[in-house]
Formats: sequence, structure tokens, C-alpha cells
Amino acid sequence: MATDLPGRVRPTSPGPRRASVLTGAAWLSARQERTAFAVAAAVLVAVCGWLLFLGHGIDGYIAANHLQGCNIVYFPPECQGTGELVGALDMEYGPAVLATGWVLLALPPTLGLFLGAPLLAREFENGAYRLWWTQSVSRRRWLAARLGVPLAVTLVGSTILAVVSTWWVRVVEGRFAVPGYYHWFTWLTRNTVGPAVVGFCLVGVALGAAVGLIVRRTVASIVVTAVATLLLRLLVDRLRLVLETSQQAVANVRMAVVTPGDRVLSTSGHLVQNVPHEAYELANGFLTSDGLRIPQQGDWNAMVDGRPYCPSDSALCLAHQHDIVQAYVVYHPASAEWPMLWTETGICLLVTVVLVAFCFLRVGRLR
Amino acid sequence: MVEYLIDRHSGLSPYLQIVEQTKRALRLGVLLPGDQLPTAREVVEATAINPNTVLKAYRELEREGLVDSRRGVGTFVRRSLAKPQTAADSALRAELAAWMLRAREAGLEREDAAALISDALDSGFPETTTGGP
Amino acid sequence: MSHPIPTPDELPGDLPDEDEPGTASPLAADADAGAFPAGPPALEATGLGLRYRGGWALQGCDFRLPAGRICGLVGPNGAGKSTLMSLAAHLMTPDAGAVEVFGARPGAPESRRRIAFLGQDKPLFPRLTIAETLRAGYELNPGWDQQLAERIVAQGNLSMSARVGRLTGGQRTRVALALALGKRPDLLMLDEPMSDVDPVSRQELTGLLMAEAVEHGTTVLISSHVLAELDGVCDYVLVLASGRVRLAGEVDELLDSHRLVVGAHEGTGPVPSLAGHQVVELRRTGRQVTALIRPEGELGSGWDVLEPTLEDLLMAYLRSPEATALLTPSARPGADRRLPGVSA
Repeated sequence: MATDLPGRVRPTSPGPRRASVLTGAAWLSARQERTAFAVAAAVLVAVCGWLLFLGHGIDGYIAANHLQGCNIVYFPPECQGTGELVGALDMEYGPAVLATGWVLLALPPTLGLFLGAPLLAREFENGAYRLWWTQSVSRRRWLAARLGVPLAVTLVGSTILAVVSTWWVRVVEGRFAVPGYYHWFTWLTRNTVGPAVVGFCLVGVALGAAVGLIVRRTVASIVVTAVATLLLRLLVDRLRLVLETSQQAVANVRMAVVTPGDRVLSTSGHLVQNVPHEAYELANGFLTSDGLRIPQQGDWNAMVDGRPYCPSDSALCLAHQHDIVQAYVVYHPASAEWPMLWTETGICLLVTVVLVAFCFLRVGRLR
Repeated sequence: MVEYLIDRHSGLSPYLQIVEQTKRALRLGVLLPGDQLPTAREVVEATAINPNTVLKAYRELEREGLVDSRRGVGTFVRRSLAKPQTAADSALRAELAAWMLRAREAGLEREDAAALISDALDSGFPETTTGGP
Repeated sequence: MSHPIPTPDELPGDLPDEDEPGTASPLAADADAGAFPAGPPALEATGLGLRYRGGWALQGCDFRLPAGRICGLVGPNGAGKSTLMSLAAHLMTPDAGAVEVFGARPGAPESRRRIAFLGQDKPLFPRLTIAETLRAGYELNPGWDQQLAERIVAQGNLSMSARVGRLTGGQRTRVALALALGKRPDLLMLDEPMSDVDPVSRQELTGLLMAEAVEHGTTVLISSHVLAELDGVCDYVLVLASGRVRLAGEVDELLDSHRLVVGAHEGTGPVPSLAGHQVVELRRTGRQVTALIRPEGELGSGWDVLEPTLEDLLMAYLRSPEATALLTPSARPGADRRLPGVSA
């Protein structure tokens, strides 16, 4: 009988237990994502290598030409005469810096779309979840393995990226005609520096996974995740400075009509001078003697253009022109940068935790 | 050892086929006292029939006193149904072989010979009827 | 063979007689084959129902599958076969009633360990090799039997390093079966397992399945709409149609309690000589009447009485959805926990 025929059985595989860091459900989860992890690791190595190469080149140019203090946004007096050198630097590296900024900006959402969104959706689409669920593991252990391994890998990878990326941004910040990298608060800088990179990566994966658990179709999951990621980023942008109290600086002014029918210019007093270097201005306007605030939204120049003025379309400003005693600026100082980054990170981690908790609640009720 | 061949389309239940085939093996001396019948596992693995069918057949053979089942060891032949007259070298068999030769020479086909034998069987052993579909 | 028409008190409901502890008794002759395990049945459904797109995929299902049986699950497409298995495997949760696996709810840890389910589409990880697939079985199942799984794969002449995604349908089935059997389940549920397997492998894999069942006392629930595939393989049967149980119980008992009768009758009205018997299905060809009946008492003369084959019986029930559902006592859930033929 078949059982007893020797030689019909060819022992072709080595034993099941091979030296491996991961065992159990984690092993299978990692094995399922092996390709994705390999691609992600290759991208990480390539991007970090590029950042080091580019940053090193820029650093070398700056050191060789003694341009250390020459920020192109402020262009301090001691940099007079270096215009050509600075221009040459921008010509050589500017486009690369801008492109690299976009890549860094796109990496966390990309990870969410291509690792997170298919993570569970594909599992439902090709029926693999049923293979898992009919083994001796609970749905929750399945979910823990399916989420835990990619999130752990993301944590490690994005931490490496964050370290290299932060160093690189500090090299290029304010040195190129790339507005996104002008200040600590401009959009490229604030999204590609520090712990926020880690937060965005983690929340991207968690968001994709949660969407996949609901949508259960890979392509639909990617699309929905893209939209959800965008909304989330807008929300984080909205909330990133709520924990920081803004500062206010004032200057005394007196206003009078200089040109009839035109605008009201200050007759005494100047720009608000005591706003610190690299401050992030939130609002400005005038204060009347009885404390009324007349904001000048939309006309930033009203405060900086040599002498403060009331724009001709600001009825409120014109009506109170004789009561105006001060001009004000509300701002965040540069010291708010790291609290801002940690707030962004905190929001991301919080959302990640909520999404993971949602997944665990949902998986028990799936039917 | 015997090997059971189960014909699913014979109309005869697999249970009876095993009983019959065992008895035939006992008659022909393929199985001798002390021989072990294949285990249920071996039978079902080779024939893809329900294990309970095999066990039911073995129980029937045991009930008829043909085999002994020793729990945890296996099922063993207790007595043979072989008669010396049916052995391959018996005189009766030689006569039949000679008859077959003559029937062929007389131009009979296999079916003609089978019909003749069956007819002769019926008149020679009237008390038994053959089972079958 | 002679098959007396059973008298009403021998009809399903009674234990098999003494002479033939038969279908339900211990697998005595063999090595480690013990009695059908006493204790809770492998599957027990009470009022089980699942809604599906406005209708019911399963409704009011009551049945029991005693442990140790090899049960055929039969029904037309959409009858609820896959749904039933999915509910038992905890891939779905019922909208009504409940199903228990060895007395526990399907999601319980011990149920998960004791059940293996091979779905119709045989889900596997296409990018894994066969060796890795078996390793997955090892990593996810405490009772994993690597030798058995490897043997099943090797019998199909498959290379351990072959990628699952490149296998043919039949080869995939073999790997999926290796994964299911390697788990060493107490209840193995197979949904149309042999649909894409060639005849030779079908025979071999069925044999293997039977061998594992007898060696480990595994209960097997196997669905198929190729009725011939189940004949001789199953000793228990569960027929579903339109989401309801139509027939359930021991094959022998069910066959014993039914007769295929052939006789003559003029016209299309009811056949008077069949009155008093339960007619499952009646067909007419000219003057000839062929009926599958559950005889109650003696049948009048003028009938040719045959013992139906399993296929006759199943076909008759499948074709006659209006016939009364029949469950033998061991297939009825609830109070009667007694298992026929079980010695304490």
C-alpha cells in the first residue's frame, strides 16, 4: 500500500524550524510582505544615500567658498559680494533640492498607499485571510501580526530616514530659491524634519490598513487611503501649532490721511521692529486706544513696507484712523519649531493608536 | 497480504466486495491461517472507501469465525477456506483446464464457455444462488 | 442480497441491531482506532441561519454530525453548503441560531485548533514556496504534523521549492490539503475539494483522507455535487436545499428506510397502493411508475422493490424540495446526546 512504499516519500525540505528571528504568526506576516519590505528598504537606502551625497556636496561648496552665514532669504551684509557664488550654488543644486524635497514629502504617503492600503485589503481580496483564520490563530493574533510587523519595520525605517533627512534639511534650509525650504515653518521643511517623518509614516500605514479592513479591495483601498491621507495631513497642518501660545509684538504709530481718497499712512512710528528673527507671523494689524483690534489679513505688506498703512479697502481701519495708537504682529518664534514637530508627531501617533484600536474592534465583528 | 479491488460501479456494496474478496483469497489459499489482513488504514488509503465499511466487513468475517481481531495489533486469519481439491495442482483443476482446451478447440468463445459453466454450476449446485447485482 | 423492508419500528430512530453494531460501532479491528469518541458531536446546529442579500443563505438549520463520521454535504449550488462550513469555521457569524464545534462556539481557541477548513477556492499564499507554506502551517498550528504534510506533497511529485502561484489547480489542492491535514484537525471540512483534481490523484487523495480519518478518528465533512464521488466514501450524509436541511443521518440507516419501487399505474392521479407510505419522489413514464418511498408497513403486491443506491436517494431528495425533511436520531440536535453504538 502507498503508506509502506519506501522511496515514494522524498524528504525534500529541511526541517520546519530554521534559524529565524521571527516565529509564529509574525514570521508569516513578514514573509507575506517580504517583497514590499525589500522594495521599501531599497528605496530607503537609495534616498538616504542620495541625501548624504547631495548634502555633502552642498556642504563642501559652502565651506570652500566661505558661505556659511549666507542665507539667501535675509542675505546678511557680510555676504555682500558673494552673490555670484550663491547664485552658482542655487543653479547647480537648486533643482535637485526641490525634487528631493518633493520625494521626501511624498515618501510617508507612498508608504501608506503601497504598504498600508493593500496590507489587509489584498488579504481579503485573494482570500488569504481565510487561510489565516482557519489556522489555530485568532483573528486578533492575525491582525496583531499583520499590523505589528509592518508598523515595527516602518518605525525602524522611518527613524533612519528622519535622522538623515533632518541633517539634510538643515544643510539646505534658506540657501536655495526653493520657498518650501526658506524657513523652519515653510511647507517642505516642516514636513521633512524630525520626528514628524516617523509619525507620518506610521499613521500612513495604519490609515491604509484600517481603510483596507473596511473597503476590502486593494485598488479601492489605495484610492480611499490617498484621500484620507490628504485630509489627515490638512488636519495635522491645522493643529500643529495649537499647543504653542503665540507671541505678540507691538509698535506705537499715529495715522493720518496723507493722500485724500487714498490710504492712511502712519505719520509716526515704523514697522514692528521687535519681532524676532525667523518668527512665523500669524497675523498683524492695528490697535485703537480702547484696545480694538483691526486685523489686516491678506495685506501682509501693510506692516512691513517701511511705514504701516491702512489699505483703502479696509473700512474698519479707515473709520478708526484717528484712534489707532499701535501696530501689532502675532507670531511664533523659531523656538516653536520642535514643539510643533512633536505636536505633529503626537497627533499622528494618537491617530495611529485610534486606527489600530478600531481595527481590533472591527475584526472581531467582521462576518 | 491481499489487495482489495473495489469496483464502485458493480452495484455490489464495497462492504460485500471486501467480504467476498477475502473469502476468495481464503479459498484460493492466498490467505492462510495466521496471515494478517491489511489494516483499515491501508485498505482505505489504497481504495478510497469509507473506513467504517472496511471495519464492518472485518467484523462480518470475524462473526463468521474466519478472522480474529486483536485489538491494537491487527486482524488475523483464523481458518482457511482452501480445500486441497481447489489447489492449482489438483486433479479437479487439471480436468477443468483440459475441458477448457477442448471447448476452445470446439470453437467456443469465452462468453460461451462461461455460460456453459454457469449453467452446469446451477444444475450441479442447485441449493446456492450466486449473489450479485 | 436480501433487504427486508423495515417495519415501522425499525425505521430511522432505532439503534442498529445487535448483529451489526455496524456503521456506528468502534473501529475495533485496528491499531489505534477506538470507539467513535463519546462526548459532544463534531458539529451541532440549532436554528442556524444566515442572511444574504435580502434572503437567507441558511435558515432554521437543525442537525448534528456525530464525531468520527465521514459526512457528505450535498445540495445544489447556492444551497448553503459553503455558508454552513464558513459558519462552523468562524469565517462568518450567524444571524440566527448557533453552531457548535465539539460543544464549543466556532471562534473559541479550542475550536480553532480542532477545525481545518479547505474552502472551495483553496486560498494559499501564491508567492510562498510549498516548503514555506508548510512552514506557515507549522508556525500557526501547535499540533502540526510536518511529516504527514511533506508526505502528501511528495506523493504528488511536487518540489518543495516550487512556488504555489505556479502550481496547477490540482497541485494547489494537494498543497492545501497538506496544510489542512498537517494541522491534525479533529474536524476536517472540505468544500468541493476534488473539483480540479485529476482522477488518479482524486482516488489517491481520497484514500489518503480516509486513511488519516481512520488513523486519527478525524471527522470529515466533505461537500460535493458529484454524488458518485461520495458513494462509498461517506457513512453519513447531510442534504441541504434552499438553505434548509432536507436529509441527515447515517447512510445505511437512510438507505434501509427507503425503497425504490417500480410498478404500473394508469393516469396521473395519486397511486392508491402507495397510500400510507411516504412518497419522496414519484415519476411516471407512460404506464410505469417509479417512486422513492419511505415504506410504512407492508407494501402491496405488484411492485418491484429495490434498495436505492445513495445516489438514487440523494437525487430523489434534491429533486423533491417539497418532501418532508428526514433526520435520523443521531442527526437531531438537542436533548438526545446519546450516540448509537458508543460503549461508555
